[in-house]
Amino acid sequence: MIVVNTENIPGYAIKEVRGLVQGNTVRTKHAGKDILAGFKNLVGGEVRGYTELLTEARREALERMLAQAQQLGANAVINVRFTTSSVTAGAAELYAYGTAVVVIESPS
Amino acid sequence: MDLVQFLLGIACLIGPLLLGWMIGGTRERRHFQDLDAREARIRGHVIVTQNRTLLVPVAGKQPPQMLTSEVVIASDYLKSFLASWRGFFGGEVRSYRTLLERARREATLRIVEEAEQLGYNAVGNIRLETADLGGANTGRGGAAMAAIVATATVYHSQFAVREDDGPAT
Repeated sequence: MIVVNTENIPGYAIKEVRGLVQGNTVRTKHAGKDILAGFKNLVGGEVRGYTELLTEARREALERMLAQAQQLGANAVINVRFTTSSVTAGAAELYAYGTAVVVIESPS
Repeated sequence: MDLVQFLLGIACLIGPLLLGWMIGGTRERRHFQDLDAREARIRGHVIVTQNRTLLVPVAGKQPPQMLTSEVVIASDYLKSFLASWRGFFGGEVRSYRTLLERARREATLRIVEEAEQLGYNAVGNIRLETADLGGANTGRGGAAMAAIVATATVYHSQFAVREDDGPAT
């Protein structure tokens, strides 16, 4: 499965369009990480717990999107976009969406 | 007794500020130096654009691929303190500007470095977005965090050929 956030894939031609595919997830970290993040706000620096949270959420949303694409028989997803929103304290909602397509290799 | 209480009060007020100034300030300076060094190393090796169309893509060993990176950087106590004062008088909040700048540059660099590691020589269509972590530690009480999610497509480009590599085919 080729996944890109551009409108086309260089070296490939789009044969069929299978439509919009999407995936979302809402994730939180355990309270300990929230407390650690609170301490980080005293001294500054990267909050690894929250970076991880976003990474996990992104992977999850992407996987769900890809599962949908697979179901539709696509072999690539183009123009992928992400959005985040806040649902509740310390949680991140991640939404991934893109266009599922069937591509073939074409030297151009 | 009163003196002790007074001193304790002062310590509680100054302590976190000092902590923010010494540790937070040092960390920020180091981070900026680190970013400068990594960006200088990347320059000329990898072409980085936010064009929607990819620049002269060529067929490489692998098809183009989407990469993502996330960075969350916390403000320190001094920054939050300065920002709350700025909120009273209005104007540019310089202490938070550097915070966001660091997060964005770090997120971009992580993608570029991963691309390089995977053998790509170009990064296109970079999209930087702020994420919302929902206010457990953000927003309220002056504590702020810069959360950036970055997305890009990495590919092989005819540009950005290293001189010692010869022309790409």
